[in-house]
Amino acid sequence: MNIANLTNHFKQVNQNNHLLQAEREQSFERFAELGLPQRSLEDWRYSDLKKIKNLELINETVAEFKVANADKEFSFPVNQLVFKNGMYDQEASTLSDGFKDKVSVTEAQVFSSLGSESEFASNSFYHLNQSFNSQPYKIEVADGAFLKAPIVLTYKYEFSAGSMCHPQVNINVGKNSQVKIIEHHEFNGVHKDSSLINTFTQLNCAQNSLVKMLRVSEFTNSQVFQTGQFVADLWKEAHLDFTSVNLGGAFNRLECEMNHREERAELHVKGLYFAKGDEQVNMLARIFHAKGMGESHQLYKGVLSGKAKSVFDGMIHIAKDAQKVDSSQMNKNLILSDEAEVYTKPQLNINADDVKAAHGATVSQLSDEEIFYLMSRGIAKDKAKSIIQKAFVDEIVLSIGDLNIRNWLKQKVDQL
Amino acid sequence: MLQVKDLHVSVDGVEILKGLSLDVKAGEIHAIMGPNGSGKSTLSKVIAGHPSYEVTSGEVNYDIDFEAKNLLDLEADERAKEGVFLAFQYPTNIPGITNYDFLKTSFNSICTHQGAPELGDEDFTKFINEKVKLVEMDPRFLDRPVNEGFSGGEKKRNEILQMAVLKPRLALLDETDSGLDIDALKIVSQGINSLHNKNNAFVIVTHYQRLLDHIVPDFVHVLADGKIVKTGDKDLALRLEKEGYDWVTKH
Repeated sequence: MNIANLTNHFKQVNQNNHLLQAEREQSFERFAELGLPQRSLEDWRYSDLKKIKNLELINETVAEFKVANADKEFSFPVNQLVFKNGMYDQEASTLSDGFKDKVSVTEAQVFSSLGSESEFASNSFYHLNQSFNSQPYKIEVADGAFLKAPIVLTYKYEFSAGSMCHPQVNINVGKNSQVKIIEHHEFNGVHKDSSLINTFTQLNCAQNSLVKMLRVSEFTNSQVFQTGQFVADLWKEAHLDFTSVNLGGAFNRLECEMNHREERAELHVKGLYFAKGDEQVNMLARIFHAKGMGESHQLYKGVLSGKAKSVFDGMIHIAKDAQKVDSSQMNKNLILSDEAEVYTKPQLNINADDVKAAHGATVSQLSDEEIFYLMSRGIAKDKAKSIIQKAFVDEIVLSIGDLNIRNWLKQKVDQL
Repeated sequence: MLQVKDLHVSVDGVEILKGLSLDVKAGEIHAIMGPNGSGKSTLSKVIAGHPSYEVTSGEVNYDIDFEAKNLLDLEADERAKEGVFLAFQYPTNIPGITNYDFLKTSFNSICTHQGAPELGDEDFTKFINEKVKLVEMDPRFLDRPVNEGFSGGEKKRNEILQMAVLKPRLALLDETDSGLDIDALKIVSQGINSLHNKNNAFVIVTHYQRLLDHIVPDFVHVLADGKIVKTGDKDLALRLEKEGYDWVTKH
């Protein structure tokens, strides 16, 4: 990634933008100021920056391809919004009448705003998304809406090597509403040279809403770089279950920022990631408890083989007056080879005096004793290994309450 | 059925078994007793195929249904498929997989090997429920992860349950009696007695005589310093209990 090249590219692209030109310019300036991530930045310390430096991104993506049978992905009822290279495709989308009554999907006229404490304000990739995204979208779920079928955001990508794509969506779930959301990113091509998909998703969970969200990125065997920023705001008594699953790809970095804006919100964050060969995964989680009596529980699990490398960087912030918070953070890793590397850093920043905050991390290999135990019962070695691995992964997969969604995910995970 | 000839076994370069021989025929129950560190557990693990043990010389021959096999050529899972079963002294916890799924996978992989049809959930549930009754286990244990959070006695009972499900031809019980209270000991013994018949054989490794109050062995062997130093009938076990292992090494 060369800033001078990107600057020229930005000038060309932004001339054609029909809205938010000034904001984009500001964002790009900020990006140029921040520059590319440096090793001196703590949260990039263990990532392979050479790979990012070598990314040459000059092509603009267009949405001129046909998405066929997107709905065949699911064997159960869903409301599916299809995005082609980040652009909403109404024709390819399938929405029930019930959905249309309660949910609106519009082209946003403004960018989503961040909270003042947000670390994304100094995040290069966030500003890159603001500068280059083709069109931000807004999904609005009405107050008191109860949607049985999940809302699926299907992101399909098709572009040549050296391209970049910056989807942006803002989802607002109204008061007392209950929804399930699947955000599914899929890239089917195989690129010898790299390209970048850099997403920004903002989720607002209004008072007493119940949101279960699953984000799946399926870039198996591709050289696409994925960076993503996810920010969620939880208001009074809101409940959010957020699970992110990374099924592979050259480089995947997902940064989550979750904010307890008011009291008694409940948050469960789960992550499951697989990396093989020389793939890299970065999982960052920032949980801010600005108000008390809330709960947050994180569990991230990784399976690494080959020379793969993973970074988990978690932080629970509890503000001074946020008493009676119950929070926990755990990262567990299973490494299947001698050369895989795991960096894990669970952290706490606690300023209140009456809270629960637990954190921990484990790194382990398949246990010889477990393998022998299964073999001694007639189970072949390879099968024994896969059973133990599956058991490790199942803790996350089985935590998805909706059976249809769970089975959909399970099928993908089992294929790996 | 099982012939162990002049077996030498090392772990990390230290020789544990130093020329052990043992002959077990179908229908027999053998008890192997001996002081701590004599190599009792090593013997059962080597026969079951634990990869950490290195056989430096000797033979382990196994024949069932007129087919002779060199056990040392077979992987642990292949030995299990041929009917060898080890009840572990310290059963391993396998988090994340339920006892039911584990037993079903294990049972069906042995069925497939022996050319029998696999059982589906309905048939296997019926089958397993009978076995659960045999070892007087709470059926809820089937839905719990394998050995996870089980007490010592529950783990041992779970081993006997597995044995009842897999119906081995040669069962090796490694200190199955240790850590059991008297009621659990009775249940485990009853399980073993009800599974024993003229076509299978049991090798029971134990430190104490008390299991032999419930299970009557045909032979009692004393293992000391990697070799069998004395063989007798059940009276030998009683004598050992009274006189201690020193008595054997002195006589």
